[in-house]
Amino acid sequence: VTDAELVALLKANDDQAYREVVARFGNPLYGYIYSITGDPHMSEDVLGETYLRMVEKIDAYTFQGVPFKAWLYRIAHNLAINALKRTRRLVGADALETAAAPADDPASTIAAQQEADAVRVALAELTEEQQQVLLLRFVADQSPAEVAQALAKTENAVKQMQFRALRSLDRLLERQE
Amino acid sequence: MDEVLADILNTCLQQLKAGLSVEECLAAYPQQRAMLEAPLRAAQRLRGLPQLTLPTSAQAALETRMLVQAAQRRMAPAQPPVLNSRVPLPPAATLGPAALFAGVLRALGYRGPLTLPWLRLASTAIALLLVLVLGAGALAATRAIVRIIQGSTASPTSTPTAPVRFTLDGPIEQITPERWVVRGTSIAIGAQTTISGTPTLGARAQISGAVQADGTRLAQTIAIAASLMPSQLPVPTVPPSPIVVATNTPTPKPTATPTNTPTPKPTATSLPAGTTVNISGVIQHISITNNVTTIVVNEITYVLPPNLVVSVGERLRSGVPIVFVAQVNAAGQIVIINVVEINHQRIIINPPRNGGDDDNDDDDGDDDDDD
Repeated sequence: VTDAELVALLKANDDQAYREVVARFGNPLYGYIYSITGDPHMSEDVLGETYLRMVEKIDAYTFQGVPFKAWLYRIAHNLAINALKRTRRLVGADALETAAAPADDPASTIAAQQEADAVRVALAELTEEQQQVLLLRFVADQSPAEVAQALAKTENAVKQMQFRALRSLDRLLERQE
Repeated sequence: MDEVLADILNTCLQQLKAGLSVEECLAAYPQQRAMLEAPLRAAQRLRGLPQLTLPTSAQAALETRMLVQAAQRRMAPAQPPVLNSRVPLPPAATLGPAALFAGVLRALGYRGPLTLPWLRLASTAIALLLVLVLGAGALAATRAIVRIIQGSTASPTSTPTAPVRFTLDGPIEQITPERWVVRGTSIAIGAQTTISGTPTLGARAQISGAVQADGTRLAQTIAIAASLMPSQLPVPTVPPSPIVVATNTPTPKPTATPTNTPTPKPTATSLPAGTTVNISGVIQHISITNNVTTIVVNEITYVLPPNLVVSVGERLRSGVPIVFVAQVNAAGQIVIINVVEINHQRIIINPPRNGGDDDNDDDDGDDDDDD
């Protein structure tokens, strides 16, 4: 099923098409959301919200050649950022960071968790656009061309943004250490 | 310089992805090494972020929630196609005659600006005159031209060109000459639709067809299988409960909680009258037709008698989990005879007026900002 066909079937409320979305994009979207929130439960909630938002807005969506997943990632990104802001408002950033690692993890997993948290914290300090470029490139594993389509930029612009964003990220990570 | 570096970095990133080490990538670009090292290091750490996968059960739960919402959307009245609302005559249509008048003015030798109020008034008056003189035909022609111009600038991607195929497999829930409802989905029956087998309510239909431009699904072939066997229906596990229990104590929960009962299929069942079934599921839809309240759970329609509507009606909402006991009546309908739980809360039929009614409002939807 091509993206255009999938969108047409979704607009026609085809259950099989909805299932196809879950099968095709469920796990990558979850990983993407998790890379923003760092919280599996919150990520699950955000993924659920993303699906519901898709059902709600599919009539207003028009397929214009840009991969359908770009739209889904945009919804997921916005919802994840909103959820994160809301949680930080409620519990504070420090509490969120300490709550991230499960208590029964072995030492190596905790080290990996700390590394992941460090990357996430540094990522959060980049501009919104830089975050999106890096997450789409390295977490969602999209090519520069796909990212360019998703963000309505040229491929060259995305490559340059990627270069600057990675340089900034490295600087921020070094500052943490 | 930035552009060249960005390109080299991208090449290196591809090589890293293909399995090369950072050192190997940098060795290929010794002059740019200092500039590339930091971003490559950062990219490596980004790629190292843990890739979590959602447990299958959670994925299934989210999918179910989405499908319930999709079913609700299906039941909602259809919205007119978006494109139609954009077509009404725009200012360009009224500008047509004015532009024509401006052209006449210019032809008569006027060289000044066309923004003075008197000039605009005069142009409108003369445009009206022109319309009267040239008749409605001229206006229609102007409108047609404007439409053509608009048509050529309309978004080329808003409608799919090729018809999209669909298939559907499920019990027939409703049959009218023009359309059927199969597994909650409305299917249009056209002159070209070929039907094999005898369609009856509850029978399984395998449909293939095409989605029309307006979103309706037109069946092309329908194959009717035999009515679903009683064995596919829920197994009777508890005796029928009294319809109304006037008591101060909660209605006891049946000992055999029907959590894993097979999903029932047809609305009009071939089970013998009097068969009692336990149902557990989420309310997908509620409707009232000719004063008969029906709820759809697990894609099956159940009739809710008026006395139970009075007792539990206000708690019934789409998307809410429900556990109930139903019985097949002489007409083959499945009628609810006792509601055990709604929204995970045990139901007390006819509670005392002074009893604390903890109306569990399970509305967790937040209206957050949406981009």
